[in-house]
Amino acid sequence: MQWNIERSKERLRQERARIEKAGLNISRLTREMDLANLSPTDARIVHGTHLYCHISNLGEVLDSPLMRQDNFKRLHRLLHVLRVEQRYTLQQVFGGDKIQVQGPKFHGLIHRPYDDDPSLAWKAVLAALALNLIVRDAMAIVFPQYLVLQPATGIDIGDCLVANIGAKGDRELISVGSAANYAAKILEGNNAITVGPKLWSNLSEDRKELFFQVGNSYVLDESAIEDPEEIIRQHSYEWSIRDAADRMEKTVNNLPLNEIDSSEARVRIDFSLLGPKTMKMCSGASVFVDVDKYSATIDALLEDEAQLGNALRWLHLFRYEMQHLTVDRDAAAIQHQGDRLQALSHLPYDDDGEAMRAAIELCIDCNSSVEEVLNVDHPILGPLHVSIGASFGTAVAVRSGVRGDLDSSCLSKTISEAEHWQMRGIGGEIAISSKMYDALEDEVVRGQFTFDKAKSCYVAKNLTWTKIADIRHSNQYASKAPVAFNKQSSGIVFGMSARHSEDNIPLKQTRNWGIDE
Amino acid sequence: MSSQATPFTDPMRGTLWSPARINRELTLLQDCPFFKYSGHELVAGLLQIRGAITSKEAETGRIQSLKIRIEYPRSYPRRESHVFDDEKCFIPSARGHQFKDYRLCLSFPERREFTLDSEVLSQEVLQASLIWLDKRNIFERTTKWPGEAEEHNWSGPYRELLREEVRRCRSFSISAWADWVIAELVAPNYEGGCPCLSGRPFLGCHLRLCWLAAQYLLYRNYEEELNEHRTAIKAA
Repeated sequence: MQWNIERSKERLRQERARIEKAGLNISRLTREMDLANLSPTDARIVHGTHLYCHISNLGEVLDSPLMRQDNFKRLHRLLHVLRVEQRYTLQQVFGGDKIQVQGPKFHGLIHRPYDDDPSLAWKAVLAALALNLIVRDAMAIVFPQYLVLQPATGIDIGDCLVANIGAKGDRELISVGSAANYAAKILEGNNAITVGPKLWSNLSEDRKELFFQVGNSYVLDESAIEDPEEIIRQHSYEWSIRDAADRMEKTVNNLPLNEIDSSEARVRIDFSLLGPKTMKMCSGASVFVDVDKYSATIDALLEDEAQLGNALRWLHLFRYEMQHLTVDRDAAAIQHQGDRLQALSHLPYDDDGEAMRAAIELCIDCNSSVEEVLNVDHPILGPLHVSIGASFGTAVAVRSGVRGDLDSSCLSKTISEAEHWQMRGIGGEIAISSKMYDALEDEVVRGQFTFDKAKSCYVAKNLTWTKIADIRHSNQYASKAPVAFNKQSSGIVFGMSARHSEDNIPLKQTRNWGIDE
Repeated sequence: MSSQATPFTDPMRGTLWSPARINRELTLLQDCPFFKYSGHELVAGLLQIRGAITSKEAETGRIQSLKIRIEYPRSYPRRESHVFDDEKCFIPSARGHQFKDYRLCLSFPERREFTLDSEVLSQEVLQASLIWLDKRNIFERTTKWPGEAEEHNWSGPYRELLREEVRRCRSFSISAWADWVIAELVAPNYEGGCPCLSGRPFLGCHLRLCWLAAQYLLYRNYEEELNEHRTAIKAA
């Protein structure tokens, strides 16, 4: 369905009225509280450490022939097993919370002990060691014939806003704040644990020496730790690689490959129907839509609960609108990742060119709604802009985790590309791959994209449907094309056909005049 | 249809707005599907009709609407009706093609783009207003008026009309004469020889050419004086 400004305005007006009626309750997380049973109208300001554990060689894993066999069933099982174990380790061993699994990244939060940042910081480093060991060593024990996974973990400490956006009582946490953002951005290297400067400064002097500085961040020196398992145990955490591998083997045994149903998606993927035993494959465009500078805005408002409430209201409106836009374009909203949406546009399944054009249209829809509806009718935080990245390729759609806490993910090499462009983009930019650009047929839309050498993709700035309509109309007026009013669409139409249809009333064109008075 | 065929038009005083004539005018306007009538009144014997023009943008679904007031001049239908932005939505400006009194600047009168003395005149004015609204909305967003437009003064459009008339004549001597008039600012003599070299005076030959040249020079001089006057005031 084509984007319609009036439809977007009306649904956002209704949603805002609903949110304001329901009310939002924002409070700081205290000792007596936890993040379980957080209702959709509640949000918590949480002080803690954010961990992002990433599989840095996922591209190679996706390319390996063994993984590609049987429609990526092995990859799905591998990731499912890994996610379940990472979740268990973080929650049961380190008392933290899983926030989200974002494709190859596992996002966790540790917020206990309260009011003791040095202990919190060191606990996060130990948890990161365990998470890395699961990915690299424990997985190699469980799946000896597979390519060894290479982990990279980023950690930072700070305040963030955590809300539950899960529907029908499901748990789906999102967190917004610069600590989480920073941790996600320092995922570099193989087997590396990188921490932010704020977290590093909270460590004791002898622990600081375990790290070396790289840019603004600090990387754990692996050679300085002889036996990471031993260090974890010394701090009274009952965890070992062998125990983790045993647990994972049990999960593997409960999920034989022949019980996994993997098929090509021919209709829109309904992620709620996917699970450990059901997955889908498709050729589709991954789209990332991220609100630029939203985390910085949240950081600045953490002491002002009223304004923070407004910021959360805006985020709910943004999420609501993005969700509807994807449905309108027959695409699937995979996941809301804080202030970012990940969507998959894969229809029609038998026409890649059309699917790519549909994905570009979805990108323009998202930018149009933010610029022309949210920023005009709901400027709660002043104008905010989105950075969008999109790339097309074969994707695997999965949903893994434990019952009631499953995370939708989509994996492909092109997803990392789209995410990379989105993260490097600025507000108002739409970045697409060369393949998607080549599929564009509309000259006006095509003309708005220029090749960005630094990013190796095509970028359009401030592209909205209104801008496209303005260019089209201006071109038609300049070429003196016949103009008519179409009775069916109640709109102005151009071209020679405008004169001859019975539904059209030709309009009188004049040369407008004016006087500088 | 010529206005002389109708019993409602006085050749000397213009349209007499009897109830029957008003009804017919309203029927004509309401035949335009993009116009929604809201009321009318007679002010000093002249008809004013209020309503809104509305269209939907195909690409965005945006509904663009403008409440307008149509004022019929005494000389209607020998002159077109005037359309005003009734709720003062737009800020008047020459670049935005709107007069200070919020009248839409639809056309340079001398260009005679509307079919005067006809029943379709009102509809043509409404149609031009709808296009004006579309263009004005684009102008509001891009600060650039789409499509062709006249220069924002009196002399410019007269010069353009003169050039168009010269092009229609397809005569080298007329073209050279027009270039000379425009460059040297020489006032044409109505009784002088026509530049088409027919041997007849302007009066009996290309009279419109002569008139357009005269109008151009008249307004050009006037605008120059006005500018000098303004500069002097500013300097003072």
